[in-house]
Amino acid sequence: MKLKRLIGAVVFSIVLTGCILLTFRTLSWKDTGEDYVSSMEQLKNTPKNSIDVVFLGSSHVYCGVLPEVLWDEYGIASFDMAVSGADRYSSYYQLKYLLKKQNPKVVMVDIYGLITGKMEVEGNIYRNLMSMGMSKESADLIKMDADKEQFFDYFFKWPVVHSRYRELKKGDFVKNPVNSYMKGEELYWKSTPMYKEEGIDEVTACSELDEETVNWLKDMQELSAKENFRLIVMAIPMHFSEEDKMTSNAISAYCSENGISFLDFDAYASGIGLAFDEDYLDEYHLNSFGAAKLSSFMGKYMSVNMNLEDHRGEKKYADWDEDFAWYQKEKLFYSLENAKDMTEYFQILSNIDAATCVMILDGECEFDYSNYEEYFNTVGIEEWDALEGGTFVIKNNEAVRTSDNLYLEVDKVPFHIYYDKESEVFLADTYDFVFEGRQEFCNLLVIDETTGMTRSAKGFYLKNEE
Amino acid sequence: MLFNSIEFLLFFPIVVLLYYLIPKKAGKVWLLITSYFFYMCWNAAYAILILISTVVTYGAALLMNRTDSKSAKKGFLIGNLVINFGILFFFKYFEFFLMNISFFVKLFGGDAIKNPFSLLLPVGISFYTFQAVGYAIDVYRGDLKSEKNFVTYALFVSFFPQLVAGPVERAKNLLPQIKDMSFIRKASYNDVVSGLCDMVWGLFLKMVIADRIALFVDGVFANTYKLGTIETVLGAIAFAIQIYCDFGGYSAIAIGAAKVLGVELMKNFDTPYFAESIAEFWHRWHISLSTWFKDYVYIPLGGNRCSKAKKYRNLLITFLVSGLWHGASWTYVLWGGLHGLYQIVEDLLKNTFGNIRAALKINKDTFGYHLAAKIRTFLFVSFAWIFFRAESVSQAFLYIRRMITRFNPWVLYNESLFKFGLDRTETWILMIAIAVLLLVDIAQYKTKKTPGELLLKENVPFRWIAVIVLVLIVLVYGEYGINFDSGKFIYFDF
Repeated sequence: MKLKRLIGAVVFSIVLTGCILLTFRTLSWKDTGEDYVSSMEQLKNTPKNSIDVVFLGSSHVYCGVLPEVLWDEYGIASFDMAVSGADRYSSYYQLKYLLKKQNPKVVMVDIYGLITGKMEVEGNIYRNLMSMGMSKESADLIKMDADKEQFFDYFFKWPVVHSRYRELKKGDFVKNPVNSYMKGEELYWKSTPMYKEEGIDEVTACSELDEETVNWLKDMQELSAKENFRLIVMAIPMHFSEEDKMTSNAISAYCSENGISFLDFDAYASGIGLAFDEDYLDEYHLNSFGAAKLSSFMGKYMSVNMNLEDHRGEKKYADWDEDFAWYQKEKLFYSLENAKDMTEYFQILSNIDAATCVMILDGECEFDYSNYEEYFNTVGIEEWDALEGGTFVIKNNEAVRTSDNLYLEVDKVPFHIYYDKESEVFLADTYDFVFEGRQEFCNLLVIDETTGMTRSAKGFYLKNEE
Repeated sequence: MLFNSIEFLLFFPIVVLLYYLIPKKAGKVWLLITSYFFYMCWNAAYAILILISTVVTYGAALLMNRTDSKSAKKGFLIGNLVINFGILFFFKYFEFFLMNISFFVKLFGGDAIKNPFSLLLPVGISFYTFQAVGYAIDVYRGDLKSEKNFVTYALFVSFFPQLVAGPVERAKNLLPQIKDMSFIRKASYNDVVSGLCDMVWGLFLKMVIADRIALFVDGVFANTYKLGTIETVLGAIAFAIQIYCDFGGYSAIAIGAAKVLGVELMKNFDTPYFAESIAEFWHRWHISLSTWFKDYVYIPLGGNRCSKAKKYRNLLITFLVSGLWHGASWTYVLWGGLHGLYQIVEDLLKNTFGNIRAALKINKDTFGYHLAAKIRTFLFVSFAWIFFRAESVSQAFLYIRRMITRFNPWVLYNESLFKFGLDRTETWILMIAIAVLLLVDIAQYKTKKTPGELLLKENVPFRWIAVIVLVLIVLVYGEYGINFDSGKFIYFDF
């Protein structure tokens, strides 16, 4: 009887623990960036001892450095160990956390965390204090950055995340597939014209470094000696105020006095080829066009100054290939969104792998088939078929007429359409995307089969196309 | 250390595990050490007050037992009462006392008297003081022999599950169980299981209902001046639910925790809102305190074996004192007085209502009759809670004024009720939780069993699912963690 009860208690405890863990997985704080794209999750999925170069910092790093470019051009296996709003302590302990499974040869740390103080944005505090797994590094960071009485809340995470039941999204139940191969970067294609403060490059004065910064640099240097990596401090291009520049100069001076390399990429901005009107996302960040230029420049610098292995073609590094393919595809999706006309749209679309397009042609509209003949012929839509209108699913350059239930009869009828990767069906009326189809239009919706997400929704007015 | 804290989540399993692993003889000492540790987590220095209370009552009881002289016994009892109530008065009522003296001094043109001491109210002082005093009175009356073993007695006063908010235990019930600890472990497998289930149920009441509804109550009471009938009525009813789930939840955890350790504490709540009269309500609400007042105040005053006038006097005095026990404020006194008054009126109108029922041929044995009686009692109790919750007497009267002078049924339709701390989602969660509470209370009312005992009667799959779902509900929908700062149980302040 006693044994039976003991077994019962043990089984119950296991079932209860399983249920709690399952619930925690759903409620847990997942994003270190947006849409649950998590650099920590990506780090977890990166093969052990595969990273050669680590870029350490905050959004400046994940916006400004593209490991895909370094990989494509030089075969350098790099990783952006960057979390939004990371302050100096977050970066330090996140690096220590990374070093438990990786053995990088170079760590390049951005100075923005040294210019700003402690994290203030609530979301950033959560991102930094809760994205690491339960570990000594996590505990040390919480001790450093959070109030004493909140230690257990952040360490066990549950007391903070349990109230997330109010904000659960699809991504809380289904893992974001990009986290399995991305390398910490995030892509932003938007441009904001930027300017450089007049005479900012001529500022040579240094501000006095505070004790915390000096101690932090010392700790980093000690860590680099202990873990045997080369430490490089860098300034990623952004809008530097005079005060920022003076701090940057002071850090640069400290580094040169103490044998640490300092690379001021902001000062080299024109040499890198950064254009102020197209390569910046905002005042503080490069966009992905700018990031590609900076990364290419960094790659060149590394190939000359560091003895880093080219890992292209190695089996262990397959996810860097996957990451690069994803990056290429993202670029095409961006181009698709900016296509001038339907012809260009179809041209780009035909180059995108693993994407499905839903085309809804208005059957009441007599348009000139010859304008799009080339593409329609490629995908197998004949003239009579196109003029009759209806819904087509285009996959691998092959169009298949599908159910007419999405045929638009009323002008400006908003509808949702969604490609469910698991069941490979299109669903209407889901929450994640609103596509406003219109009459007399060729309505096009593109779904990325890798992520199952709607990536482009465009409408081309057929009659005006000629 | 709160019952709904991570610290207790770590503390309790350690205490229980070691209690069952160490030799039986050391069990009492272990529980005494952990009980003091538990208390000292709030304020280490105030543990000295429990120790004083323990030493004084322990010594007084021993001396009373040793002497045959009635006057000497009386002297020891009075000495003991003076010390215990003196400490209670100093820490809890001194400021209130000075405030009232000042009021009269100012009335005659004098200056207000300032309190030279700035003292925090020791957590649970009213509970352990009453428990210790009750023991001393029992020994004085000869109902109980004094306890010779100091560890046993010290644990009786400081037993951590019921130390800070009751139940106010009777020595006759708890002392023998503590004595037995040195020889037998009384907790059976079923006790442990049902104790743990009761603890989870208590956490559900406290964290899911009480702390959630508190957000609404706080919003209503903080904005009384601009509200109308609907908000204030709902606010009063909400507070009635809050205090029941808060204190009932605490008691369930305390009783459950004790049960896991093999100690059967007295029942403190018996579905009080199903009472059909105010007198019955007090047989079901905070039973350990109401029976304490009955045994040590009401009956010594003469109880009900006297003239009606004296009986009503005794009733009123008992409830006024009971009000004052809850807090050093006139709001509590008024609350107690109102409950005394309710019972006097109830008694006075008993025959009249009986005659009316007979004349109208109203059958008492119908569902409708019982439901109406329950609702009537609940509404009267809820009305009295306004005084209990209000910050001051004037706020209580303003609240009642708003309740009866600003009829505004449209707020039920314009979503403005969602602006008091609970939005639509939270309100739905609350409503579902209250529905669960109602179902469980109906089951408790019918079977006289605790939720833990009820679950024990169920088949294993149902029991497991019920407990797992409840645990997950508490963990997910409980109000706790960062951004949440309610925390304390209401009755800790008494």
